[in-house]
Amino acid sequence: MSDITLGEGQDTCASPGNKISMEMRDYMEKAVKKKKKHRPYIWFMLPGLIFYCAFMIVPLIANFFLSFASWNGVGEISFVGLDNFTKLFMNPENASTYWNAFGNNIKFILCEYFIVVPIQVGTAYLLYSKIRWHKFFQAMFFLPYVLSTAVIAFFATIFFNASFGIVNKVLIALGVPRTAVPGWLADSNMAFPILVGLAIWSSAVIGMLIILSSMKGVSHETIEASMIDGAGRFKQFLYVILPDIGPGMTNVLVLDIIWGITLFDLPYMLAGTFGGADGTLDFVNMYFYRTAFGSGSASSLNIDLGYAATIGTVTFVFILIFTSLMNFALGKIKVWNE
Amino acid sequence: MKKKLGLKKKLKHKSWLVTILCLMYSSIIVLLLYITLISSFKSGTEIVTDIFSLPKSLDFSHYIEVLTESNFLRAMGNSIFITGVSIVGLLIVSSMLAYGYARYEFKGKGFLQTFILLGMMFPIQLGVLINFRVINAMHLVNTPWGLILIYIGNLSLASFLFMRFFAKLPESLAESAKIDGANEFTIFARIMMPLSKPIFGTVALTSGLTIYNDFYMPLIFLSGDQRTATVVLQNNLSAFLFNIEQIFPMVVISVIPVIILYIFCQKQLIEGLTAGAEKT
Repeated sequence: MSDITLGEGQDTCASPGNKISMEMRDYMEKAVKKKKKHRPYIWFMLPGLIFYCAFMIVPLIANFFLSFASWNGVGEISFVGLDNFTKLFMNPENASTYWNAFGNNIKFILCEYFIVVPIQVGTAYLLYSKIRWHKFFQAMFFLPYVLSTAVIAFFATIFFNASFGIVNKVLIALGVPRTAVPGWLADSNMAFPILVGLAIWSSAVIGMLIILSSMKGVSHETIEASMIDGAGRFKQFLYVILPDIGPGMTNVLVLDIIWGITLFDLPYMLAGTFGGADGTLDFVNMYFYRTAFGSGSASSLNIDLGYAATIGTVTFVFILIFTSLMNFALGKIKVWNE
Repeated sequence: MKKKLGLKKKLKHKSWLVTILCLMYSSIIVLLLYITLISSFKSGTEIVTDIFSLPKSLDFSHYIEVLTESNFLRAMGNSIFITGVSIVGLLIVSSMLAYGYARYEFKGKGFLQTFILLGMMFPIQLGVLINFRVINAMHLVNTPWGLILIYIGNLSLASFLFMRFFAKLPESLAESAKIDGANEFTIFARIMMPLSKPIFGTVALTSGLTIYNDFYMPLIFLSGDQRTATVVLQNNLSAFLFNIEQIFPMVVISVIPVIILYIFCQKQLIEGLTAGAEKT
């Protein structure tokens, strides 16, 4: 900072006619020399920027361009215009697979918004109001999050397995006849609710903690003032705390979209590459994975990478549109509150 | 005054119900971990017939089997190697990036920040197709190095955490060192890095947890002996009953590192994992 201002000053000061002390001039010259000689910040930032561009930004852009081309991974890349998009949306078979998967993504995001977020806000408020043993409970809620999805899928198996799982063992012990116990994961009507339940159990805590930290940022004076005004606990929550946790909520809602549209690990582990026989747990990212990498056929010659890239591009555009919409809409809400 | 007391009493009553509900919810994970632990000493038939029963004896044979006969020990080694090297690379590269960003004023600074944070908006999965081709061209598919490069490139969150920290460090320290004739890299390595130990810890733990638990990237890039623990575990899950005696010890072994992190570093983990959302 100081280098730059000194450097700029030098031009005017050093012009002939101006009398400045030698000492001062020496110092300025040194500063300018230093600034010109090496710009260390470039060298500090360069390695990171190279890695980031090479493995993050360039692949994103290249993926976008590849969706307008046809390529099997080894041969020539030929430009095909919008053919891949037509193939995705106009070919009945592809379109039905895609819209089924996309519909599941939307269903999942809606579950996040209307089931998970209220739970997160409620739980955050409980911890905020320092319920008994709140530190212990926060730690317990956080515990499933540190485990890998493979372990969560493993737990799902020992919990919900129809023949030896914990739930059915308990049901049978309670007197439910062996033939009447539910199939849980094997039942396609139950697979989706179980997936949402597992997602809440294993990862909703992060959103909850984000909301909790914005609750902690609400000023105590506002809360005390509302208490003096005689607001009950519920009114206080509704009118004082809820409007003030806007930034945290915005982020949770935006993150839910990003996570919801790129969902992969859990449904893949629960239902396999195709998301179950009737695609109840098929998601856009799984369709992308099948198209791009097949079942271990990443080097196969008849694979169409341009088409796979198109699926990625649609997801990319979706994130772009919906996060901007969310930011816009939530920005509006913030303005109203002010 | 009277009214206030009444309110307090009401709340207290309410919170017993809440406490019990929270306890029940918390007990799910404890029960699952407990069952996993005891089942790792049981035989397959014992597990299937009664999942709650205690093992007949403390039989470590399945652990020995998993560690000596299967490729799981190798997979754990792969996971730890990839995680460790990626963390070191990520820490060096992203701390320098953030330091350069925080210390110097230049045109387009605001744009650069938005640019660096883009990686948090568009997950790395969206570029995986191209990444696979690039890593393939470098002949690094099915080696740990391909994945390590990608994990280092995915530096948005780490850089963001460092940027936020360096912005708060007093400039005067660096200035006085500069007058003493230290060059920028010396200032960074000798003065700033020791001052920033806490944030280095937070980034290392957060990224370490994410990389260790990652499934998507290893699934695409690694196969055979190169697979990581999460992928091997998932492959065994798909034939659960066939591998039932091996799966339980595998889960216990793979969970040990993260449980240790969880017990000793919970605060830093939470800080790092929730910080990404505070960008606005």
